[in-house]
Amino acid sequence: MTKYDDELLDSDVRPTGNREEAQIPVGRSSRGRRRGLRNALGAIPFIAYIGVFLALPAISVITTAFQDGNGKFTLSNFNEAVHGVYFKSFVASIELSFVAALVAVVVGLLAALAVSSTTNRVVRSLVTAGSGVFANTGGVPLAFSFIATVGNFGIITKLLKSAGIDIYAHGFSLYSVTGLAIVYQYFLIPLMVLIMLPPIQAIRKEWVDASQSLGASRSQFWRWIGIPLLLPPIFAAFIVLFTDSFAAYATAQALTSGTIPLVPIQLGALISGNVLAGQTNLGDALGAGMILVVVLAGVIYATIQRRTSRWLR
Amino acid sequence: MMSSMTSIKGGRYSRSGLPVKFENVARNFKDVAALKSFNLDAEPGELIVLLGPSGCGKTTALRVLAGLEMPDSGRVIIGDHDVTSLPSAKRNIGMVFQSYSLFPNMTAKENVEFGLRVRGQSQSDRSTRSGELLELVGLKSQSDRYPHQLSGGQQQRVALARALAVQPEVLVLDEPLSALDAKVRSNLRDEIRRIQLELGITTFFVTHDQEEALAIADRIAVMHQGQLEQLDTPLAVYTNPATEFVAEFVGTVNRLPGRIVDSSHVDVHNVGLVEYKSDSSFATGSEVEVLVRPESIGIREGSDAGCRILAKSFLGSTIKITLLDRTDRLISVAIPTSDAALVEGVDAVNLYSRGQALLVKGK
Amino acid sequence: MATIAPDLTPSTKSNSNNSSDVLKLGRPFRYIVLTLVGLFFIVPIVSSARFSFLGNHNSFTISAYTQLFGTAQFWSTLFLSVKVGIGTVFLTLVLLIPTVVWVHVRLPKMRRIFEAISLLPLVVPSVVVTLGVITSFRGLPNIIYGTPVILSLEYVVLALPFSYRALDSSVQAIDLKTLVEAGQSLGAGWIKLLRYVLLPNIRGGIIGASILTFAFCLGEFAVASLLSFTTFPVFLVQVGQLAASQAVALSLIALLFTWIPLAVITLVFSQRRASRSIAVADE
Repeated sequence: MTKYDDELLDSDVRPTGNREEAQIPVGRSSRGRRRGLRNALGAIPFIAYIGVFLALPAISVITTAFQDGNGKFTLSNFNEAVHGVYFKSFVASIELSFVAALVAVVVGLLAALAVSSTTNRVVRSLVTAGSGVFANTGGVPLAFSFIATVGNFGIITKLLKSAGIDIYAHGFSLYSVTGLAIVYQYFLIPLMVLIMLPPIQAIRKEWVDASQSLGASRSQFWRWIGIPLLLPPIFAAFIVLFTDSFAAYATAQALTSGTIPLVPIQLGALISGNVLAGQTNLGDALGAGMILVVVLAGVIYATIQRRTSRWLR
Repeated sequence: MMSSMTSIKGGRYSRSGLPVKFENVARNFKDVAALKSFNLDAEPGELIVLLGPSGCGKTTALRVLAGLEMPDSGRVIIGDHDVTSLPSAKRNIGMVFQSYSLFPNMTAKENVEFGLRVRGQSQSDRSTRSGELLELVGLKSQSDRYPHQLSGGQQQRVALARALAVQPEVLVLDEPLSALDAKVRSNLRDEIRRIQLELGITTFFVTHDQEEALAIADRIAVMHQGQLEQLDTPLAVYTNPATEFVAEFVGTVNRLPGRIVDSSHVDVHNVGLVEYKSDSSFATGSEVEVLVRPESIGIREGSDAGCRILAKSFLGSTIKITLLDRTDRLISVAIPTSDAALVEGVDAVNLYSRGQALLVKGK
Repeated sequence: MATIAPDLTPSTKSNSNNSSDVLKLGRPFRYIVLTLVGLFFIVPIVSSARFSFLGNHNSFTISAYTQLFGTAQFWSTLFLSVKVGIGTVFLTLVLLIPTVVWVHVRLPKMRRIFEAISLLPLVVPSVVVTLGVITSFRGLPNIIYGTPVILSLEYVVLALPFSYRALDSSVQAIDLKTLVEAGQSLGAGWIKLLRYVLLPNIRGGIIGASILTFAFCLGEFAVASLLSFTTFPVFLVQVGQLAASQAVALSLIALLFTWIPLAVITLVFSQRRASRSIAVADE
């Protein structure tokens, strides 16, 4: 095998994904360590800022969640948070986010595939720009434009009514969990398109050509190459969309004036003191619960990712 | 390194290659004609290199053969089958691409087995075959690596094994070495040639690197602007180019002014009498342009040395010398390293002819 | 909720002629999908416009707009939001430009880690952040906690996933380390380097990060309303409880004002990327 030694040394391994490993070299000299320390200094303002304005509030919520009104350790906040109306709000929030994310994943994926199949430059840049813009839309204005569209007195509602279809008589309501799931699509679908376009475009023509020349049909290409390659980013996108809708507050609050039982809404009501809470630190328990849900989603994602993308490591 | 280094035509898979024929193939992309009336006949088991500058249509020709591109007109015939309208998946052609063509989600072994899996072969058959092929390309020990864990050269070896796994009727390689380092490139080049001879498979190899083409080909097809300029053995292409384009594209040439002396000799400025062969006859005394290879010109010392030495570059077995004559014309000469003493400590030299002119062209 | 910056990363490996037949959806199906999705995005805008001009008995009126512009609170809340936005953009740039540059030059191996840190705000929902701000900063002097300054301070963090990414990818696109070394070899100090070499080269990223951050501040509702600051979106909700057509008119204005700059930067960046990938594609 000596003949190939030079080539084995040619460890110019071409990365197929666009990831870079962050490796920390081991066994540095003390001089190197001092330089490393000095290098780390420059990052301190940033880290400190995050520490004060993100980590500190988050940690204080989590620790307060385990304390009673006198600062003593207790689990009773959580006891309250996982019962009755609060438990239901967690279930509702998770259901809403799951369904909204699922719908957006399917529609967004189709849209992304449709865009990448077209060679029309105008359509392409229109969709890319549109996605970039709409994915950043949300909050209060979005709620009001849907009220103007399919609210009680919305333009489309009235239009349909004059055509003899009363959507509100058929059980539809914009001011419900279903309504929210629809409204959320307005920023979730473009987000999905934005996330999926790069991996779809990263599917190389050579892979398609190679599979064809090896005798594979269209469906065999998808089964063995296309889907395995797209599945990891699809999972990633699903988790991002899920957490995004799980944390969303403004749209739900503006649309339903706080009447809908979702965790962020309940927590918001507790913060603004609109609700007589039995316990002082119940809000912190809800907050900690929200962080937990997001972190769990992340863990599930990482686990699935490890299984589906062995080839990336 | 391998037990089966024997290179017998027909090889250990005891299949001999099929003839391949392009008949008047044309292919246009929008307004650009990538191929215009392209004709080529490949003998069974032959390795044909398609050589040409980028945009000459060589890759298009290859893709038409592989069925990845449909010709606008003309026919492609493999063996005695007209495959022109056959989709790529039904043609049974092994293809190796420039780079990055391995499926990133499969190990080397799984990549090699892909074509067999598509054909519904059992896992054990597939394993045997992929083991055989990975051994053939010297990568048995790397079978469970993913493409990104392999070097560029190793990836191309796997791609070759994958293309061969389905026992293709024709092997097609599209600049398979162009993304590799020089050393790896020449190793793999020889390896490809060895395997190709061993299997006796008709092979098309696209490159823009003339050195590669000369080294590996049975015959070189020099292409220019969508057409075949010349199809001949490497030696013939180099020493007897059919057109000016071939002469300039393969190797280096000097274009020197000359005057015809008789039907086989031309007096070249600064070089003296040079032998030539030409289909067209030139009148004695007519002014012509003569194309001469650097190694067909010799150097000697002289009293009225006419050419100044501008630069010398040592290329190993030869020394390339750039000279400037009195009319400010650059002349390139290559002398064997054994003659190095001739140009040692010398500023100016005289030239003489050491071989035939490639082409003679009327003005 | 706003969530992600448009992909500002110049694409290096994918190019436009990479589309292949196998990946292609059938033409009719493709256009049905795009048309339906497109309608979903256009209908609410058109309906809003129609709704905001709707008078009694389906007449056309611009009274919703005239009444709004005549309201003092419209201007004061808009002014407050703009002030908070400018403050946030300023803080963001001061904090992030040195950090991103430093990470690229001195801590290149930590780049992924810093990128991950910048995504942390996605893990903590803004409602939870607000609660944490109340519990942990209550004791701070009034000048910070009791004024909109706290909004700017928090918005820097909450907009980080967009702003950091925009800056990071623009620095990534240039060979910063070589530029710095070249500058230093020519005798430039850090200030001159920053002024004449770095900033001009990452101008696109700075503008992108600023617009994204500013748009975020103009639209942010949760933190502002829960901390009882009447910013523009909070005012919008208050209007919504009184006069629907005014709220819709106001929403339309707000949406257009955030969409236009976002559309501009997305188009500019995607075009730059397209030209870059053309340059990459040889033959």
